[in-house]
Amino acid sequence: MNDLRSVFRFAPELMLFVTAILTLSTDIVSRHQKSSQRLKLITGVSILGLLISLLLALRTIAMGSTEVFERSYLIDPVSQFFKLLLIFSGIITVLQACMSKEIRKNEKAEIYTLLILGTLGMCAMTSAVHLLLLFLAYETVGLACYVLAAFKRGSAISSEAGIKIFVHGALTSVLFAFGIVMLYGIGKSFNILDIRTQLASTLVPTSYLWVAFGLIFVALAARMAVFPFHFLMPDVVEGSPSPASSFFSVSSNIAAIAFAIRLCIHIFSVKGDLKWAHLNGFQWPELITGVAATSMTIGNLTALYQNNLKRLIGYSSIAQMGYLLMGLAVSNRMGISSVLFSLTTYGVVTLGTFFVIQMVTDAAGNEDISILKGLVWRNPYEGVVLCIFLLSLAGLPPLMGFIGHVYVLGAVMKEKIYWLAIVGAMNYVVGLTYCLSMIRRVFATNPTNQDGERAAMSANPIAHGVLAVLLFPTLLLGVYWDPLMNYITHSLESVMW
Amino acid sequence: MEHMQAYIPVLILMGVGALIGTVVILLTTFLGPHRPNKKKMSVYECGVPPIGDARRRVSVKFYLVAILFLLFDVEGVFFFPWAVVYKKYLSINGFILMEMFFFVAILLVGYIYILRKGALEWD
Repeated sequence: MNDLRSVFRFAPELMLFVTAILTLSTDIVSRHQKSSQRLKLITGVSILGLLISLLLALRTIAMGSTEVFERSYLIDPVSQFFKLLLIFSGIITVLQACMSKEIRKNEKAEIYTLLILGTLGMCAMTSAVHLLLLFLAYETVGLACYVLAAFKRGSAISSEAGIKIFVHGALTSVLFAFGIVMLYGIGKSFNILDIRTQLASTLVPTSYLWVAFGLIFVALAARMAVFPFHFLMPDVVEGSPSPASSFFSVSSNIAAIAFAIRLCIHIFSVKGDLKWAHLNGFQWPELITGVAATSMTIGNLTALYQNNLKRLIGYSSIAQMGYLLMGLAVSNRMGISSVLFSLTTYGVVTLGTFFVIQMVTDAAGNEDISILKGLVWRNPYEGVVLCIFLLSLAGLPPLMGFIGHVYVLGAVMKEKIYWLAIVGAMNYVVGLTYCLSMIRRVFATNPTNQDGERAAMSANPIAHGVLAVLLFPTLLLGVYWDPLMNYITHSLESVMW
Repeated sequence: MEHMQAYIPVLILMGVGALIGTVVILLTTFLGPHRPNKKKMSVYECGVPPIGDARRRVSVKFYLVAILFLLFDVEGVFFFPWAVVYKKYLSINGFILMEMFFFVAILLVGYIYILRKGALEWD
């Protein structure tokens, strides 16, 4: 498909780009209007654009797999699934930015544009099969993230977050580029599809494969902040404005997992009947099991001692990424489908948690865990919703987090990696501890509190609506997960990997 | 390791380059006459007597202008490959011309944005 029609398959990304440009233009054009009206206009334009893009992505999902732009961009049901998640998460983060008190009113358009362009880069990351295009997408995401982290101008902690993510990102970009060079060297092509054929047909020494795989995986691991590269991420999540924090811990991770799946399955595995065989005895899952086990243990154990709400969620997302990599390490269809399912549940729940946390921290003016005290008595709706999200994050039935955990553990057990399953199960318990301790605070009655009762947050219909939208799948998928799971399995079967 | 042999000339070139660099500096240090005086040791400032300290503070506005310049400069680079293939693709259809209009329109949005935000105003 080299003709103009291929552009239609690319429509969600094009729409994202147009939305970003329109948001900026609206900001310029509407300078003379009142600031509240102007904010409404800008938010309306960007949300509308994102919704249209979501619909377009839904439309392209049924179209099957196609390669467009001279075989450099693969659009298949799996990549479209990731795009749906990413655009959905983009909508929620834009709304979160709209509510945020950390961001001044005249800077909203800029943060929307950055969020949308970041989402665009991530969408390109899920689809790109040309390594140079992939690097470009990776850099687009990086650039958006650097600015987002340092968005609170004048705040030292935000500038610190910006510097940290920048140094981290610059280093990982170099590693990523070097990995691409190595892959080009052994695969003799920039196209992932050709590299795969080349690797499957020739006998490449395992050490070469390790170098190429290792370098690229390191770059992705740094993006999703798993074990050896997790050190800076909690600082970044703490220092950035809340919408940016949720963007880093949800969208960024989704995109990185999307490409990690492509890297592991698409390049370094040979398709079998039921199970993907590893290329020439190249045992990449060993690396991933190690990373998964250590990162969930360290993330969970460190989260136990956190007093800063955003930091706590930052550590918990390190642990969650560990759970997901557990599914990837299994490297069969069941494992990958469990990763996709868990990623959905993780994304929705983390977005919701960050949304409530932002409302609470904005009202309280600080981010200490003690501000949750008695939330449910002040604002019953937000309190209960936060508890549901936290329980789903910990993985209690009948919420969707539980189903995700069961699928991942089931896949690991079926592959008979028992030690990993035991580590995973123990980590679920540890994860439950800090989630329950937060819930205990939410329900605490503390009338003799010396700093007095906190005032209730004013009810915001849009925020309530967003939380309802996020709550719906959390409850529904916990009891009726078949449609999503079927969809994931079908799309995995239909892809041409 | 067979295909690594192709890189041996590159290695030799790098080695020779490093060798010449170090040898020339070492030779001038050991063999050259050393007769320093005050004029010779002063900072070279294109023939003008240097005034004040070189490590002065520079206004942050310079960086903004530099970044903006770089941005539009790099975007301008895109015109060259476009111009090279322009004639060939124009015979197929006119899309290549429209594409450049899109590109310039996007550039224009950026330009108007920085203009309106006051990024080009010095004070």
